[in-house]
Amino acid sequence: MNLCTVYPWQLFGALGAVRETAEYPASAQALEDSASLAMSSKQLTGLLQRRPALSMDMMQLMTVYIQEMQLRYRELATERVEQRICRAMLRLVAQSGHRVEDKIELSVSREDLAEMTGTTLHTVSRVLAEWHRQSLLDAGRERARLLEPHALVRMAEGLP
Amino acid sequence: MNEHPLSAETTVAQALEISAHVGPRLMARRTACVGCYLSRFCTLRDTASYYNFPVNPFIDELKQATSDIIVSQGGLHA
Repeated sequence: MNLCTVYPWQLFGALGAVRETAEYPASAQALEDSASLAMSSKQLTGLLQRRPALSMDMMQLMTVYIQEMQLRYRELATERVEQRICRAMLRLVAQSGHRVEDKIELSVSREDLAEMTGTTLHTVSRVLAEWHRQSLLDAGRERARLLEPHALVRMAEGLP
Repeated sequence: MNEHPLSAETTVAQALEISAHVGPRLMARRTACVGCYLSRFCTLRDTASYYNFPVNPFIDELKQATSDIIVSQGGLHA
């Protein structure tokens, strides 16, 4: 299951600064060729003590993560799978979508969507096929092109 | 002469960044643009088209509501 997508220059895995012996219940996986910079828990803790403003930045970051987790938990508990897939796609659009001709395109695979929404690959394929039939989007192997983005927003928000 | 930074081709996200007065105008027109996932992609022209109102009066209204930008630049409305 995908808990969180990290974008370039975003800090991640900072739990060790608070508890040196903490173990993550998740692991990181690169979606494309990437380089990451790392520092030891001791170094980060020392840095936070010398520069208190960094602590505030870390709290901000943790708040964003907590909010995102709470949102995802609420969606898992209360929303239909179509709505969850729709929201996940739109969140990706807002973060990393780009215009191709007059449409919005994003790089995402069915596997990614299944992991992000806590559902199966089969369900994602079924939902995307239905949206394709309704001409809402055109989904390829590793990308999706939104043909009717506003219709997807209405679906995500549960609007008629 | 200062040119107003808002035009029909300005995206909703840019317009919201340009002035805090844009959000209330969009809400007054009963759009769902504020906080929308697509604000980076939709222009003000797209908004007018989607919600079915004429674009030019809409842009004029936004320019009027955000005329303080020009004032702060020491331009036309000072």
